[in-house]
Amino acid sequence: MSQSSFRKVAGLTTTLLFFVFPLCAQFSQGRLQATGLTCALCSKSIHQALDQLPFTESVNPDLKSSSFDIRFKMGQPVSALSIRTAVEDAGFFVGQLRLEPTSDIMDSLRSGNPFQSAGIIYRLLEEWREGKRLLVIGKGFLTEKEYKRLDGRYPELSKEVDSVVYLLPEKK
Amino acid sequence: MITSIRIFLLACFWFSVSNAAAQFLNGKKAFPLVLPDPSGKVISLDSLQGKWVLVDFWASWCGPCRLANRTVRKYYPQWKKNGIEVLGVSLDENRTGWIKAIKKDRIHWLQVNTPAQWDSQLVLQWNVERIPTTYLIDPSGVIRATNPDPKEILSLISKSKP
Repeated sequence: MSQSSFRKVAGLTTTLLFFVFPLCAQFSQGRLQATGLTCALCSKSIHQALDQLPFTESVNPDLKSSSFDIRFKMGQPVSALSIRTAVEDAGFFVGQLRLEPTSDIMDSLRSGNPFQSAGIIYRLLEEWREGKRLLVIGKGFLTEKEYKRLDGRYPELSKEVDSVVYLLPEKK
Repeated sequence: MITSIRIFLLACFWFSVSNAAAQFLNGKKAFPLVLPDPSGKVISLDSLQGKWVLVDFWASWCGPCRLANRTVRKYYPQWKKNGIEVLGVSLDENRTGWIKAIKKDRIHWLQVNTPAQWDSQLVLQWNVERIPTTYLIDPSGVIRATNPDPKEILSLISKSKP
């Protein structure tokens, strides 16, 4: 499938899913890299802000990847926007957010269908062939430099609305 | 550019707030601290009364803490000669990670662990908002300094000597 036809199919199914068939979609875990002038892993405020999100099961800092490994509660809709707000309220910024969907959602996304969770539509920007994780793409979900680089590549990003979160398959 | 300024100002704000919050314990009696060491033996801060004690809150997953361990390792022999003991309090949930870090950083001062991480009652009492956070306790059990550097530690102790 070419990129433009993939986008057309994805756009159409987004509309259908939003109005007709909203899925109770789920992410099982995520990996968050937070940025700031001080060490985000070492801060009580960010840890507690993430821990207090209604869909968070556990938050574990990992020194090797300088990230928080987050496990999400089963059956609870996950909001990438709430994660971003929690990080910013704690005085940091999201440098990178990777999400791993459950297998049913993974299959659905791989066949080009976006899905809805916590009032947000998650849409893929590219066909997803391999890997388990998806990168959240958008303002406030990446470093400014990385966002500018991707903004030129994906025109959808400049028309960003709060109810849509874009995703890219994680490259190995 | 605007974002960089925003980040800088936010960081300054958070740093000053958390530092000020920790500083207010100076002059107050140290809170009880009774926790197990890596072998399971319980160590209490009270048992160290009569010595200067540097209480160091840290964790194996905290980069700046691991760097600070190198500094403590460098100064520990000198501090020990001057009657200062170091008590590391790890916030590691994962015991294996804690033990590995002790070996890797060649820590040979006292170590205890509170596995409840940031939810620990101890973290709340000692007002630890970020790690590393250190407190210098005098021989009578009173907190004399928060996050002192090695020079400040030796200076405080030499001033207290008759």
